[in-house]
Amino acid sequence: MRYPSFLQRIADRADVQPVRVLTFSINGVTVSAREDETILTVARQNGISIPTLCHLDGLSERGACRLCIVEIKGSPKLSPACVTLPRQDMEIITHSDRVIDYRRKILELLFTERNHVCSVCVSNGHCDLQALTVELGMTHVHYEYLHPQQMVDASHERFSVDHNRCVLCQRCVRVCDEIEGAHTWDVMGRGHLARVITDLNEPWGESTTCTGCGKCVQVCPTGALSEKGKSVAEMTKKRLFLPYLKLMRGEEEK
Amino acid sequence: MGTKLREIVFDIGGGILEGRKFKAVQTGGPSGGCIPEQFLDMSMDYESLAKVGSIMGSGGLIVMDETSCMVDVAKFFIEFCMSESCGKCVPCRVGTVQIYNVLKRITEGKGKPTDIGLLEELCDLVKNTSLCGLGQTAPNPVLSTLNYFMDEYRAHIDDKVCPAGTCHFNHTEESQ
Repeated sequence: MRYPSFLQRIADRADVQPVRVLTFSINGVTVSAREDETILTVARQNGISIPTLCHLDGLSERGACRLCIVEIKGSPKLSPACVTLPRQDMEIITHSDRVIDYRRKILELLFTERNHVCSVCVSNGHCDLQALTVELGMTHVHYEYLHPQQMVDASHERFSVDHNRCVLCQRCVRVCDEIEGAHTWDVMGRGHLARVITDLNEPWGESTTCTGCGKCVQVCPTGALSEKGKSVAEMTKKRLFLPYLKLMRGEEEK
Repeated sequence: MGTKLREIVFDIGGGILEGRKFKAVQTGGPSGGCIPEQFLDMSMDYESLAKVGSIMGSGGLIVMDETSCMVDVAKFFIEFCMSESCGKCVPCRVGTVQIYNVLKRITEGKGKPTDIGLLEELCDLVKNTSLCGLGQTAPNPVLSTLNYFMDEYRAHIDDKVCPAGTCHFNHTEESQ
């Protein structure tokens, strides 16, 4: 029998997991990071802010809102920073004119999709979507508004869901499944007809799986999910539970 | 593979019915591009098709003669991609709807001169920022028809005329 090599023995050991450190550049600045960290994580560690919507620290990544797209030198395609892992000597540009332009247009598309009217919204002033328009300098929507007919479900005793304000980021779906473990929320339909549902498209108030924990409400970026009794601009979201829960559960596993 | 498009359409396929004039051939299913007559002597392979803005895709061919309106054809294919979009990423979910609405407006005779630029902008956005292959190729039929059949778009928008005669404009509503 051939004796395994040193590297093989290291790789076979469960308690030693060698993590490679990579060196690459973001906006011309050389940075280093663990190989399992995403471009978004590394950029934020280095003080570079990349706009995101579907990403939320503590939840799994979706790569769906496309706002965090970045340019990688040598690649014709744009890559979402939240799900792209860096490689050695990669050259990443996070704020080229091209991606800034695309981000703004994607945000405009989001505004045309449903009926986002800030002046009557419970989340006015505390809204991630609204904050993005400020960050990206989006002042006008030059596409046609679609004005779809959307429902409001206020059957739950403490919360309500207004599909007019939903951006389909699926944070509620992920927090309910990954953190609360109830998986009450899901998505029904496809394309522009997709919408979030509770249980098998039953009224939220009649859901048998919902624990009423309200985590979905707190992670929702817009006023789509809100607490009852809140008027215009009164719905502030409390999200500190998420990094706390992740940290404590991580400690428990150790 | 490697056979000339003209050979496939006219020899193997038997040519155009009732002696009408050939207009375009659409390759690769709904997300392929429309290729005009000038490229008929091109051989059917991946590289040549990519060069003229189309794809091999499923390998299927749809041959169109002078009775097909290219704006209407583009609208038909984008409608398919719009309903096939899964809805996960924003550019594909909303962008395809926006493209469809503009094309629908043009085929109804309500197109505006700015619509051409708007279509080009939306197609570029959806093509470059979508998550998967569906969104990345969905604008192909629109881009290729804009490229090769701009005169038909212009006729719809400026003259309110459909050269192929398939789009019916409600002129009485127009004059009101």
